[in-house]
Amino acid sequence: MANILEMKNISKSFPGVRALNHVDFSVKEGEVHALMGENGAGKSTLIKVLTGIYQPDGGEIVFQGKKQSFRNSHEAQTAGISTVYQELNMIPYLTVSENIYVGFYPKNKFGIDWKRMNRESQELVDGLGLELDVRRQLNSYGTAQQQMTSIARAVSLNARLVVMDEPTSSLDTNEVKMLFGIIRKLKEQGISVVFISHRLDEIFEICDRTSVLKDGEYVGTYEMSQITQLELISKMVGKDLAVGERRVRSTPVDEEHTVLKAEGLYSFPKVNGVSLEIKKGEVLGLAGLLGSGRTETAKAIFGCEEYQSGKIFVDGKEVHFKEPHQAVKAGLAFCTENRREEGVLPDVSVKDNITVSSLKHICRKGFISEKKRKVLSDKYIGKLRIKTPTDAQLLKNLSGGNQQKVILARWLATDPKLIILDEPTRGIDVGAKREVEKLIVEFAEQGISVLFISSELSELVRNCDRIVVLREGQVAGELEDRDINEPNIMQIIAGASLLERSRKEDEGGSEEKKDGTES
Amino acid sequence: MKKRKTEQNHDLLYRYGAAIALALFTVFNCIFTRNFVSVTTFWNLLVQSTTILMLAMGMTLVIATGGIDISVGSTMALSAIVLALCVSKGHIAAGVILAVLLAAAGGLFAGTLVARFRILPMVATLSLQYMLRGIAKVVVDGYRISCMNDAFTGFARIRIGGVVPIQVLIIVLTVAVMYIVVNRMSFGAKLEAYGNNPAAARISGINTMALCTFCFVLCSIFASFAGILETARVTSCDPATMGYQLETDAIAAVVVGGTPVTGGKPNILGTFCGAVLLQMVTIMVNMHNITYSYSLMIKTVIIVAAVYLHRRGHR
Repeated sequence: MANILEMKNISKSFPGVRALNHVDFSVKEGEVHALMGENGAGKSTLIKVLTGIYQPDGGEIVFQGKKQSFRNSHEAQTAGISTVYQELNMIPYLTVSENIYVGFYPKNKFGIDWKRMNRESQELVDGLGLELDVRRQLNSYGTAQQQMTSIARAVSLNARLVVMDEPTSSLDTNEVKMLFGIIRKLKEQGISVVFISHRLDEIFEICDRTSVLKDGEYVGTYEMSQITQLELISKMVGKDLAVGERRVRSTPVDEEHTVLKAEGLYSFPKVNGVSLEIKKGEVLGLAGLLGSGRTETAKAIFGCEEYQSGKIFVDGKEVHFKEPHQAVKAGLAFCTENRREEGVLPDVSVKDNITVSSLKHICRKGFISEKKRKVLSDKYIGKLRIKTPTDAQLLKNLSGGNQQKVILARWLATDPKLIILDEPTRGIDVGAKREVEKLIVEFAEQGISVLFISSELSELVRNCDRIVVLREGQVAGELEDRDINEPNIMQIIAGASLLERSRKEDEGGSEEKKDGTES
Repeated sequence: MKKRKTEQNHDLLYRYGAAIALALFTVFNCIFTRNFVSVTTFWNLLVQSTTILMLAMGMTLVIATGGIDISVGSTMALSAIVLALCVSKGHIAAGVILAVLLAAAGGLFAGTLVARFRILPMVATLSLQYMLRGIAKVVVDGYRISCMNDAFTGFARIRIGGVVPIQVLIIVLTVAVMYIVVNRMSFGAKLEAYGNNPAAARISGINTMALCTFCFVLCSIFASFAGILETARVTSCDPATMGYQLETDAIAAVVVGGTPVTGGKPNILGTFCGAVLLQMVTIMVNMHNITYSYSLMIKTVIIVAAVYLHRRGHR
């Protein structure tokens, strides 16, 4: 099979950072090729060079046998390279059809040829097996379908190479299956896919080969069939890591002291009667499918969203937070799952981002002590090993993983009693994930309680003292220490859905059962 | 390294752009405008900028939150009318206090609409713009009120050391205080965070409702200061014309000064330079005996250039 893409000797630097250092990257026709590496390894930069957003300082790009030099992303798209981004670049208020064709609208002599646009985009969408009405507004569809739309867009531009950046991070299991189906269809048509992800299971399922970057350097390219997960991780991180053992606590959980208790929380529409309890120094995991109400429960507790009934107690005292600042004052912290919308202050420096929630600790009579501020910020830059040239760097210039670390630092700097972490390792590389996990453990041992929301079961199994499983806004089950393992969690999640289905059938009366008989 | 220099240049433009423009215009006028280089002109420039500068100081805060306040002209009118009424009856102190309080109440109203009820700032302050001017006119039946009170009007004529007009001292103090508040106090840090990403600021524990409301209150209070100072200088107040459409000039000064219109870090010194620069254009056009319309065109060019350069610097 010929190479559809050859990137040779690519180098790219930014002030203070050498992002890519003589990197090679080749993709064959019709292959699904994973691009892996820690955050800050240079994956995003390499892709931005490929798609014309950055100009390389050195090296060359050969696409479809021709030397290319894209001055902007429009040129790259016209040449046949399309990207599906992690954080969707679609326009929610336009229709599916318009989103597919934006920038390249089919025209007739009067202007945009709407009929042709709708017809062709519907054909495209149907051809990929998606059930979308292209005339509907994009935001009337969920995240998964919006992502499928951006893939459809890539295909519509006659892309021969589609880059997918963390495409599965907001998808549930069924949606991932759908995505993989589409990727296989693309393969059949001879279209190559560059698949950027940290999810090893998925990479092993769908990819043919993988290339690894580390600290801006090219490490190597490997056939998926000839390498193991552990070997791959060690290539990315440079050290050997074991997956999946549960940690052993050195200081026990303080069973006498309940830091947070929630009773019968109802928050329309996603939380339907949740009760949970967290002890001092405990790491409580909150598991469940996407949409099961975990984030909404956290937001109700923290005062971001209102709840209609239920009681919340912090250290035994009843509270009702109407705004987040009240929760912060009471010693709670909340690291949200979408850092872009609810976490990052992009044009503010790293130092100011870290200290923004702890202003009262570094102020006297309203005046900020810059010395104390720097000390506090340096402490956490060191502790979390945040990669930034200086603390004055604007947060928008840091990689996704480092941005996440800064937000985590922000909350740790407030010295909280309880920290709620919602998907804290999303979009972070394996090495940084381990660091974050180590930190969670460290703080739990020091007596800070953690409410750990995650879709990665192995993460939960490794770090939690107890796990609560949510299903459709209710507690479906709880797992204590000894019973914590992935199969058990899956069973509660799945068990609940089996129960649900049979309950619905009972309620259906004389409705037809699945096997065609009437009850 | 070439790259580093360009980045530094961009940052400089962003932070000191307005000052550079001011310096350039000053040099131009010193050379090409007759009678420009004189102490009288210098003081006149500063004294005449006072009103817009006061309005713009408050406006800087509101724009930094990502909002806008188009009621400042009307707030100015209402404060001024109330003050004039009190002064003409001999109650200066009471008049000042009442003027400020009324303005603050208006700001509280607008701020609450925006922060608590999520109404767009443009819409919330539009309602206030009509309402306050209406009240101002009704209170005096549309008549112009003159306040020939020597103690009061004498205040506006004070020259410190016989040389420096009191308005200049007021400007310097105001800008200094605002600079410290914005750059050294936690209020400024919170405002910058809120302007950058309101949702993130809220979750980070900042009381965003109070912060946003407070900015609108402050803006209205500054508008009342502008009204007080103007009334003292002109010794009368016409409810129909006082502050009329001055909000536009205030917004222009803030924009030229570099505070991001979509919300972000307030640039106090920039606003000062912007206000003085725009006033200088008016004086320059006058002194060249050109019609007023040309000053508007020049100002437009400055504003567009400022927005373009600031956005480049941001990237």
